[in-house]
Amino acid sequence: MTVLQIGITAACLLGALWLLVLIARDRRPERWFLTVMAVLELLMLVHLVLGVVRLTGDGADGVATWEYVGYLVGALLVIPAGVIWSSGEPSRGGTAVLLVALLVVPFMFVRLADIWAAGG
Amino acid sequence: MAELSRGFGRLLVFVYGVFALSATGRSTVQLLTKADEAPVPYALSGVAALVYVVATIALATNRRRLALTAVLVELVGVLVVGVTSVLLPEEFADATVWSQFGRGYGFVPLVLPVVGLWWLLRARPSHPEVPRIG
Repeated sequence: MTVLQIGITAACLLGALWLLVLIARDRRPERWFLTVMAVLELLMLVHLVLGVVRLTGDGADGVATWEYVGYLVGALLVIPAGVIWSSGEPSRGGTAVLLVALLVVPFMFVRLADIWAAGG
Repeated sequence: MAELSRGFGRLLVFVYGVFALSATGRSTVQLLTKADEAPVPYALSGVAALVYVVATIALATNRRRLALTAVLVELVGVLVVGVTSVLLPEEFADATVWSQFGRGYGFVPLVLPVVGLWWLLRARPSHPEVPRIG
């Protein structure tokens, strides 16, 4: 994984841990948490751009381009999709949607690394 | 009567949605770029994608019977493909979502239809959906 991916993964796991605490205590995330997710999404945008740049560079010859791009775009969409889908659901279920979104992101990083390793 | 996509259902629909999107994307790429390499697994990936899409839409729009059908097909699919991929690994040149009971996805594909079934049967309406008068 790249440095950026490791950083985002750490943030996602910390966020997921916090959401677990909230779910256990039957509380909803406050506004600042949405700000954190917005910052994370900005980082995901940087991640997408860097990923595409990486694909066009040397050493990406055997990498399955479309699968790689698919996961890059998918990873970008997960957090906004989670925020939208959890809004208007003031229950543990809504909070759990955010939790899953944060856990899917690192999983997609692992897939990206697998795809890269299989081709490079 | 609570809708299927409220409360815990919110989470369930999201997980189904993630699988619907990723399975659709994956099988589309597979079928378009290398269908001849492993036709059986890739066709099965396509079927799985379709099942996830139907289940997601049915749960999100509160269509119980359609959701139940999709989840049952999903359960049978993951069990049959899981057993087949373990007994006849040579038939599976490449992995599908359901290979080895979804091991590549942390066995979530195996757990998901069971949870879906539980949710659909648990959240069943306690009285007829069309109230009778008189």
